[in-house]
Amino acid sequence: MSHMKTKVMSALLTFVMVFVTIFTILQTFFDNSIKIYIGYQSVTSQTWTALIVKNKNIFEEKLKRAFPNQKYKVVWSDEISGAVINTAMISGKCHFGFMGDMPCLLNMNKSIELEAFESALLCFTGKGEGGKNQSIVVPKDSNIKTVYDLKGKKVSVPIGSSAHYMLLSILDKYGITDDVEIVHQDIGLASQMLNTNKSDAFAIWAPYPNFLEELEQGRILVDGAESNKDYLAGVMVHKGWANENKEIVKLFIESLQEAQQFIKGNPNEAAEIFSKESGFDLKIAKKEVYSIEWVASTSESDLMSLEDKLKFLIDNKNIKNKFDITKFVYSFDEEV
Amino acid sequence: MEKIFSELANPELYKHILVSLQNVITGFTIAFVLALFIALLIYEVKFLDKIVYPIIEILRPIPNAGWVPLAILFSATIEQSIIFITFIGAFFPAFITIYRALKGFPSHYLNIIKLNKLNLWDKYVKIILPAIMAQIFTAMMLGISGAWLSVIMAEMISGKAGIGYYTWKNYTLLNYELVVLGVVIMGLLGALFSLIISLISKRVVFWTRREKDA
Repeated sequence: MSHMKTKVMSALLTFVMVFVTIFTILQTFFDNSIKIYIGYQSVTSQTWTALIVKNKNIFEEKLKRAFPNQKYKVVWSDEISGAVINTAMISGKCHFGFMGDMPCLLNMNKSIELEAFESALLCFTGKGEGGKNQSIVVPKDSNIKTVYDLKGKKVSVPIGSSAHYMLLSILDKYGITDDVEIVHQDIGLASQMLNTNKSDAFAIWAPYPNFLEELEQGRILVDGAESNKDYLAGVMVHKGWANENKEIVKLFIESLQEAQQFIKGNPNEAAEIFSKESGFDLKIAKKEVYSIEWVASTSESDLMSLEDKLKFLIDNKNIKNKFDITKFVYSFDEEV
Repeated sequence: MEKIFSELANPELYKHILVSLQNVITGFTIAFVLALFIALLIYEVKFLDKIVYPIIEILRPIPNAGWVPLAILFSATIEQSIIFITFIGAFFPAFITIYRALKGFPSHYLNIIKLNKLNLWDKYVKIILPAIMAQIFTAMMLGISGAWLSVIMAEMISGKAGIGYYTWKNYTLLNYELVVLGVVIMGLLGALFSLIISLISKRVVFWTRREKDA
């Protein structure tokens, strides 16, 4: 390459780099919309109300109608776990977070530990009654036929999750907790471990048990009904932000209710949206529509079912002290 | 801070550290030896350079997370998968540094080697390797840093032990103080390894020291 050509190439490259950098910076400066950040998990079907709200722009439309002179931008972040959403919420980068019951409790605990962070439970959005939507899955051709066969085996589970709680409840029931090696792995990793026979079983929440069966990679050994506990998913809200934006919080709750009415009234269409937004097969999405109890409330009995899980987290030294869960339910009557 | 201090008295923490030390040392040692061997081989056999180097350049930008599924798929055991990820973290920086050092080896030295008809052993052990020894130590330092950088990703596979696993587990459970502790421990151990290599390097390649250090 001639000297001139080298000079032109270097100048061009420098120009592109400077242009991209300036463009990115200007883009953030000139965006005058107010952003509302929502964290959700397409990997957890009990939180799939979020997928309907997102896909049908329910919240965005309500905001437009209620505040015609203000531009709001709803930023949806699909995260792999409640921990990621909680971290974003604690650092003020997430306003609403869809998550399972365990991350909800960890979030509440953080609200007690940290002076600068306050959170509240807006409502529950999905329920697996009596242990539904949680399962222990083994490889399709595994010799493991009963829970007792897990003795001396390795079981993968995401740590501090509802599936972790379900697994220990079932192992305790069969008196084999100390005979099972439990390894803590995220969903993707644990699925691959099961698939490559590097772990013997995988305790996980919906839709993964159905998904693994559908792929013919796994077989449900036992479902959470053995533990006979309810498993819930809910929405946590950044309380400091919520108290300053009560109208928006109201619109968000209305959006959740509207989405749930849509799921109940249009199960097939809802399943199609679930499938499109989550990437799971339509067949699996259809199963989830019917196996999840869609709620948008905080009933006393549901709150009570969190007590057991709080005790579990305390026993496992994940949370230091017991706290009153009912105090974390969001109230519109509170003073700002 | 109270949580961090009480954790420092927890023997479990030190078990995690020992596991990580084992993972990092094994992954790094294999990576460094292989990086040195491949770099010397493709330096000596020119046509291999044209085949191997482009392949390495394609593989080098792949982030550690991208290697995890492959590591699990192609390794026989979980332990091997972990070593593989730390190996990947150490191999590429070490290889590129040694490769570049060899490429920059002065041509007049090569002429001297040719004129004196040195055999392969003398050529590398007496001339080339001592001449690039400073860069070899740099390769070691970059390699060990790379191994520590990849330890979280690697130990997520283990699901039960190692300071990388410890940090990730505490992140999941929102124990941020212990996440900070884990990160600081990894940083300190990485710095300690670099310091050890640097001290050895000062003794071995003493001629590279500045006058005031000497």
